[in-house]
Amino acid sequence: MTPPLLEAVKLVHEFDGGKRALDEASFQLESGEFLVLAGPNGSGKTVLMRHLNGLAKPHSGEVLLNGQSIQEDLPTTRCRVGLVFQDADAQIVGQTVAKDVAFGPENLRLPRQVIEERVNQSLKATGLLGFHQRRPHTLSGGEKRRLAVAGVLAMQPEVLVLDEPFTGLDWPGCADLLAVLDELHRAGTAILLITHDLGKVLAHANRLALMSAGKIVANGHPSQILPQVEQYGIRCPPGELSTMSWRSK
Amino acid sequence: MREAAFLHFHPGTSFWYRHDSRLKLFELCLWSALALAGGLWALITTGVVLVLIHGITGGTIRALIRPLAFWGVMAIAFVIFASVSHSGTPIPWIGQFLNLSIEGAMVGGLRAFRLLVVLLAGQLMAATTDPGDFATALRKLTKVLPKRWSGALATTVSLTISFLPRIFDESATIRDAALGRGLEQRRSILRRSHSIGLPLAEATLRRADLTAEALLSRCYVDDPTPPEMHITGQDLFATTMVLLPSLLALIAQNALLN
Repeated sequence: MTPPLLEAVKLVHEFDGGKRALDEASFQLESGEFLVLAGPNGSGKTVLMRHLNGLAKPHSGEVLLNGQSIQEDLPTTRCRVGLVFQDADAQIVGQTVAKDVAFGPENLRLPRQVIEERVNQSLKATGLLGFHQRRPHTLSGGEKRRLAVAGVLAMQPEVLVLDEPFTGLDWPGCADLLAVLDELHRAGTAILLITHDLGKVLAHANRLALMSAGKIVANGHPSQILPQVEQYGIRCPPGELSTMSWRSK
Repeated sequence: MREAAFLHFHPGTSFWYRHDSRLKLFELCLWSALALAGGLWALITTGVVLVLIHGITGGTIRALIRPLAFWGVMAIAFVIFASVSHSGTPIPWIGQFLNLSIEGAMVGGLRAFRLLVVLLAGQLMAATTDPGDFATALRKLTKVLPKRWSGALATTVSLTISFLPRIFDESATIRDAALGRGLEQRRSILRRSHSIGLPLAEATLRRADLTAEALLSRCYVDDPTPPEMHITGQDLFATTMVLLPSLLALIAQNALLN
């Protein structure tokens, strides 16, 4: 049997003082899937994200990529599991848009020509073609978020993990970012989107998982899970149950 | 994020941006040495050359406000300390109340001028060189050192330059937040500094942590694919043209003194 693309197995993460941020959290992400992970503030979503490409080490449990523990080869994992942080400013390291997108491929020591191709592809995929020489801090919030996605895409990851990508974005910014994610998903990239605002993304998801107090408490098709969301402190999008056309897996 | 003017890269297209980073680093070292150890003629010539290059590369007075303000404070301190420590003709009027000498003021003024030239050279390098290119140039010029050391040195310098605007941004945000909650009501400078300094230190460390995670998540290494660098005839010509006036001034002054 083929193992899942990405799997968290009973992850436990404790802060100093003993408080558990993750309490045996487990989930699986299949190849080409669009999974939305929702939970209230403080439920452990961001901590879980940091474990998925080895930025944090679990106290127990493990993360598997194609059935192999990610701790065995962290550089490869970080290339295959791309993280887009909640604060795009913290993720942008280049002095121009092109230099920022090239940062990842340069770290992979790819030839200059391949790097340029990847930069162009990533900027095109995120609708930032022509922004090469712009300074990142002059971009709007939505453009910065798309730049953060472009920087990760340039490493050609199999999984894209986004932490609260719509925070602080207006509706056009959200729509642009969703269009980018949709396109990537259609091209076969598995997407794990972490949010507490289901309204914007639910129509795009194959699967919905809920997180509460460090545990994955529900996991399944959005139509099955949506009735439970309010008991875990997540706002149920109005009218979604009756009007939404769900994606089949 | 707010625009950082001091010691920060500003993308541009003028010839100085295309000038090889290794040569720029060499020029910075030579200008600094001339500014710190050269005579007055070499110092004035270097200053004029630097101002001209700043102008040609599109540098504005606005971009120099912060370095000039910093220099202004330092210059006053230099002049006062040198005036106090050198005995000689007292400065008219002020000399009656404070023990300040004209000779000392001139020594202090010269030191302040040296600092100004070093600041201008540093600002020119930082404003026209991408930190990544700067790191590569450092790595290439320190090839004689063990690879780990040269990589660590290049990384430290380039990350520090990249990180400066973030610190400025954080400090401005914290200052604005404190002002918005009535910081100006606190008369004591110590209490004001405390109100801004501690949160700034915390925010800087937090920001450094986030940046480190972002770098790691993008497979950060000390020796990435280097940018293409070629020293062309044009580069060598530019280096000769910008260094020659200062060197000629140095030689001429030494010849006259001898």
